[in-house]
Amino acid sequence: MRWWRRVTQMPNFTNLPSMHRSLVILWLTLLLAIAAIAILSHRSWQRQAEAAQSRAEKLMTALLVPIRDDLRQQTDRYAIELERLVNSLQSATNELSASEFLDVKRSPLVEQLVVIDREKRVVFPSNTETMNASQFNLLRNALEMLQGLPQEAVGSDDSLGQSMMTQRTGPTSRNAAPQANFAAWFHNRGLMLSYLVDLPDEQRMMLVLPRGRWLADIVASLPEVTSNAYTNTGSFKSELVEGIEFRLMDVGGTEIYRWGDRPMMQRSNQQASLNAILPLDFPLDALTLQCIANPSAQRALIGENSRWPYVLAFGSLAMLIFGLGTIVTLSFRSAINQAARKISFVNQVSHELKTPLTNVMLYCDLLARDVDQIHDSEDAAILRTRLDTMQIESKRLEHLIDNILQFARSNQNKQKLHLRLQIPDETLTVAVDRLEPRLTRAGITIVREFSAPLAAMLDEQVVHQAVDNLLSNVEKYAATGGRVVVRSSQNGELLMIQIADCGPGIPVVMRERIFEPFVRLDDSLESSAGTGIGLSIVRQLSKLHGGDCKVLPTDHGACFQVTIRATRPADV
Amino acid sequence: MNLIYKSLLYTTWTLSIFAVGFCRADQAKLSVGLGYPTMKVEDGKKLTNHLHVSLTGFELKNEKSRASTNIAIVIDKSGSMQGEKIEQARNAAISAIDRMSDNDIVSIVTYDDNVQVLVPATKASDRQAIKKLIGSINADGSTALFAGVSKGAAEVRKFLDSQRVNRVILLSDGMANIGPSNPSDLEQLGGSLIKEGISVTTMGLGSGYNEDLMSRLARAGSGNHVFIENAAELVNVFQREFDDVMSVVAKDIRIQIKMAEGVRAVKVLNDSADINGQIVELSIGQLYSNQERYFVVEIEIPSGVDETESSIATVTAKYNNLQTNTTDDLSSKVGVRFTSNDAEVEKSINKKVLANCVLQIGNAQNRRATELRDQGREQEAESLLRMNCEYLGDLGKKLNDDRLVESSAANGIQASNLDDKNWNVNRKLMRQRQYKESTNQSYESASELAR
Repeated sequence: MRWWRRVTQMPNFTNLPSMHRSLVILWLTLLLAIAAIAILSHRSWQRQAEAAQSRAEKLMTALLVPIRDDLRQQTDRYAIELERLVNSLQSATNELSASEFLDVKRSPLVEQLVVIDREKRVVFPSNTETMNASQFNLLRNALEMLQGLPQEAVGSDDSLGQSMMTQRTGPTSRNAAPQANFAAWFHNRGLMLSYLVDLPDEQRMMLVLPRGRWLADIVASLPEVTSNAYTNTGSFKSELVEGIEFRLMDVGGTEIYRWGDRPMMQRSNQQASLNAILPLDFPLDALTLQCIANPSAQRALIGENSRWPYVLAFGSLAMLIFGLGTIVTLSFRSAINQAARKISFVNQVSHELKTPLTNVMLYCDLLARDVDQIHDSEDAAILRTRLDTMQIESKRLEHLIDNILQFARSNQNKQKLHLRLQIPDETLTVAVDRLEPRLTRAGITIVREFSAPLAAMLDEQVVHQAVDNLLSNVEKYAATGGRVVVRSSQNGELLMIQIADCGPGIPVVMRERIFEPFVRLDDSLESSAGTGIGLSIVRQLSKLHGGDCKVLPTDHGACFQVTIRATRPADV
Repeated sequence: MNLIYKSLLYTTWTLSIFAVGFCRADQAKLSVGLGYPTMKVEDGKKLTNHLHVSLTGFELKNEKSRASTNIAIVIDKSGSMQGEKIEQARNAAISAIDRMSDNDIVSIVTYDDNVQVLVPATKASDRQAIKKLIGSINADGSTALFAGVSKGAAEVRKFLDSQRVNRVILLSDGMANIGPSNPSDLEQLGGSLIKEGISVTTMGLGSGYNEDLMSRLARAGSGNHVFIENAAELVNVFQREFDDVMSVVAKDIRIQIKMAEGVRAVKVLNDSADINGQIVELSIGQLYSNQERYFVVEIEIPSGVDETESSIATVTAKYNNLQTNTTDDLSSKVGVRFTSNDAEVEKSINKKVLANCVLQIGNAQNRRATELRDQGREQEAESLLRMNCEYLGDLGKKLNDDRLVESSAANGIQASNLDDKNWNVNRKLMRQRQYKESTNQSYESASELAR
């Protein structure tokens, strides 16, 4: 939740790069929200469109049902006619001759006729030599089909297996509906229709219907376009629905016939066209009826399933979010500008303060030298004490100004390290010495536990400022402890400085927050003086020097550890 | 005694060569003959001869007494018909309407992607309205040929009458690209329709149609098939077609040939007839005024004894007479005489019958040549056609028959047009000629000889 805190702390937040980051995060979040809304509204539009589509498809299928039923009557009529043909044969005589079979073959509904006996031997036709190749192939397939059928009942779906064609016969045996005596099979990739008849003496006859003929009869019974001058006598006139094209499809998806309106958009295939498919009844169930709606019929069937309401809703929501984001950004910007102006103001003021302060300090030093020449020891001691106080307070003021300038620099990314080869412990000693008088006055004893004697590349300003700030904090907040331990250690190129006091310590929850600028444990006016930027400067400088600063967990008191990456000459 | 017996036998035999049925003025004439009525004895051998069965329509006395027609004109109005083609098709259909009498029934079906029954089957009396509708036909779209024929047949079926000339006339210039387009499907449809008494004529316009589909449909449907190379001929072709349609004198003709014992029918040269044992069944949709329709059956005969006669076949014909509105039966017999004298064999030849047989043999060879070229065997096809040209030419001169000479010339021209560039049109011409010769069709449009 750090980013959130950053956003909410925005008004007094003066770290510019991280503010920009926050803005980027804010905008990413908003864009994500907009995208999510877009996806959701698209989904719901899609879902509604799909529902409407399936409703329309059901409606269209309903258009196909009467056509299918009417086409079933076609095969019913065939069955009746073929039954009549066969009955006239059987009533005449028991022993059927070739000429009687030829009589049957004269029917327009019979293309080929095959008769086999009980042993499945061919009885008719007796001569195949004069047939042309296509007639012969048809006969051969018909024969295979007939011989492959089980002897008892026509209706069993025992499959043939021996030839390339598939056979399908009706579900019930002969004495039931005449439909059941049909058998459909495939020949030359086309559906063939045949009618099976059991003859006396366990002979069996197969009448192959001329494919061209029954297809033509089906086509003829389907509606066509009629001119205005004459009325249509076809049975489907009412089914000619505006904007819908109907098709009868053969096995393998080739078209047998189409009628109705032409689908305008169909060829460009820009959108999935709305269509419905219904197979015909047995025995023509390999053929399918199809209807395809053109765009205007689709609109009529599906309803005005417009995208616009969704687009509008999405658009206004997106605009709202976008507007909100813009407002936040603008106020963010002005806050940033204001903060930048404040920093620059403080920076300038600090610079202006520094010159008179330097003069004050210079004259304090001169004054101190003068006081040293006074021989009246009593007067000199009093002056000396007062002068010391002035010097210490000037130093404190200088430190304060340095901190502010450092903070401003860090915000403007103007910092640079000035590395110099030096012994860390010596640098540390100088830094601690500078602070010792103040701490001593506050009643704090400094215990030095230095063990970083190896020369390394260091920016002494960094060490001084870090130690200054940390010890200043001890003076301000942990004076009650009366004691502070300053430790140093070296581990390879890592230089570690620990400053452990015996004060009230830092609550666990605050151990990370205190490094943020302007955060203080007690921000009330009555509390100790301070700006709240010291620790953030220590951390920022440590990081600049390739390390970090953090609070080590302790039982009592507080222990800050500064880590600095100080390259040693041997490593360079 | 022996001499008297012999001469008596000879007389009956002579009669039986050209046994002619009852020869009444309003009855068709059935003639049965052999290519070689007298054959040389070759003991123990199976001899090949050709049986010639011919039926000739009687003359229609006057136009008024002709049978009424029931015709569906099915017109391709797909995109490829645009321009002169559709214009000429409209003119042709209108000229046909003009020839019809008030009793004739006509329907106009057009097709592109869909089928339009422009004029459902109706009496031709309202000519102006029908012609106006024909005038409105415009070309556009695909070619739903099968559906067009189906609807046309359905229109004819509405007024199907055995005393009328029921016919579907199909005009197309392109490949059937919507619906069934397999020639065998259309062949089966044609075969089924003729069994009902509906004949089908197919007219291929230009070089884009499928001549196999069109010729097989017409063949099965017992109508005419014609290749119209130039749209300007359309009106003329329609007139010729209607000349035929309006001169039908006999319909639903069934011929049964019963072979004598020992005689085997090998094949019918110019028909895909049903041969079942000793019985050959032939059928013809209709016979036009004065038209001779004949079939040539290749037969195998065991050699007989010198100076004897053997029976070959008994032929019966049954048809529907459109003049007398009766069903007529005709019958005839034929026998062959054996001799060891070559001169007698030559002398007995009936030139006309033999010429017919030769024409059909040549025709079968021509079909074979088409097949070879289809298989990419261009060289073989060419040499076969050249051989055929020579064969037909020789016998044409010998038998003094113009048709053989013409066919010979056509074969020669076909032989030099087998290259890829000319094959498309040449094949259509070949199919047309094969069709015309084998069905004794009265007219054609484009011809090799005219090119």
